[in-house]
Amino acid sequence: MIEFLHVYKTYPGPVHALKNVELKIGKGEFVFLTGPSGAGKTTLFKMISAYDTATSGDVKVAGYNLQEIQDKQIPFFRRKIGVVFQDFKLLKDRTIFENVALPLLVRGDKAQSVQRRVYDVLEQVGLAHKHDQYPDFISGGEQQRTAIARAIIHQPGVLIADEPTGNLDPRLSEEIMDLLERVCSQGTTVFVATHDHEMVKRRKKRTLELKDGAIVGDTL
Amino acid sequence: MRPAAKNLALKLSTVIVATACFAVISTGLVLSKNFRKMITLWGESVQLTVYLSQDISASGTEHIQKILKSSAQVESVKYITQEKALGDFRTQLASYAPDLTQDDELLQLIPASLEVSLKSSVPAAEHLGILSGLASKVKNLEGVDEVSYGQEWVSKYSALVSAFEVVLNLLGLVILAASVFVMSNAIRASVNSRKDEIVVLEMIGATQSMVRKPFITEGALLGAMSSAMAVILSFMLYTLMKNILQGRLSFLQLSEHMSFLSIVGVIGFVICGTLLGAFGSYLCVRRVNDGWAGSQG
Repeated sequence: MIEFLHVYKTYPGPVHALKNVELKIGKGEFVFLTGPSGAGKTTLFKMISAYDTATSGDVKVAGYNLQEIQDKQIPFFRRKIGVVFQDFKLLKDRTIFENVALPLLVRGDKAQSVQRRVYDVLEQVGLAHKHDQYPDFISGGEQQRTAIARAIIHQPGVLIADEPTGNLDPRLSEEIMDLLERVCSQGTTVFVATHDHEMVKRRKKRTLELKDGAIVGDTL
Repeated sequence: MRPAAKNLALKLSTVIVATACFAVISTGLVLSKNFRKMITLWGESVQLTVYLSQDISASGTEHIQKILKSSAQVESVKYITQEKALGDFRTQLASYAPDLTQDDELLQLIPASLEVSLKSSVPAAEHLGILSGLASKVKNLEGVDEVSYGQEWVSKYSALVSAFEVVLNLLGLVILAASVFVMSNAIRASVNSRKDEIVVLEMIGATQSMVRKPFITEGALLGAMSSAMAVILSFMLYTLMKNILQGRLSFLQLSEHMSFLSIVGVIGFVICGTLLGAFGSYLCVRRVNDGWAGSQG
């Protein structure tokens, strides 16, 4: 589902953000990405979600070669992936229901099927009873669960999460990780960037370590 | 403040700023239209008067008339008899100086004259040259006592028209540029407040047109609403001004010549406002879609 072949990324300066990155993540795998700040984690995620391109090498995600993708194809590629941010990125003037429904509305689904699917997913993440609340009036853990619900509602092949527990306490972090594992068990490839080494150790999942733009460890 | 209320407050302030900008432009247009009209009216009163001597014969008068009419720029040459001149004098001065109008000896001094009007197509800047040319043609002819064309007034009028045109054009450009700047800033603030929405829409796979369309539609609606309200404001201001001119300043006799923008002008103004609003939004949205980079800020 995710494949990097000899990927280099250099920013003007020059700053070598990624150096000869080689990785392959299969369908339904759960993988952690660790590394200190500035190691290149965000650059890697930007490439996976087509917000940036490699200086050289090949990046393939969900059947798309992102080095060759045309601008007009990018929105359709993004409908095949889900993204979760540390700061949730919820629209504050919309209810939980409206936030979660967005990907289906963008895809042009009918109102009735949108409603059914949104309630199913909200049930899955334990937020059905808060569907009419606004993000500012629910807890951080609930906001992150809403963001995950929005990221999985269109059943993406790949879910990437950039520090999804960075703003949460340990108990809520465990809840979110449990939720991501459940998503993975349904066949979605889940790729999570995190600083929380303790949690990574406890979860016993494949872990990639990035340092100075190069992959220096893979527990595979 | 709740998100919806905050959003409404921002939209309301954008509408107010945009309305103020459009009101300045529409009021400027109304003022410009009426100033031009006044100047044209004043221009119509510019004429050459040839005062004839008491003993001029009918053929002598005809000869002078013929010379004046031979000029291509002359619209009409009107013969004012001594009786008519006396009548006009009495009518004009009856209320101000009744004693004067009874003085027969003084009235005998009022001569017959020829009033020469120029064609309306003659530019104001050329009035002075043409009138002085005509004056020098006839002033030495037999039977002509004096020639007057308000030399000082005409030269001032020509200078006023030229200056007015320049000032009006410059002022129009400055006001338009300032209004577009202020309005695009107001729209940009509105778009920036929804930057997160754009980032999220991009992230979930919205196409470029899906992201831009709501903003451009909102900009167009904002432009339409603001320009329509601006026209109403200008009309209120125009009515107020007209009432003042009809009341306290009626002696100027300006109010009867005043007019507001035509229906076509109003429709054109609102259409331009709508397009300007849509274009301003397009420019702002075009630059905001920086996707993931935006989310890192």
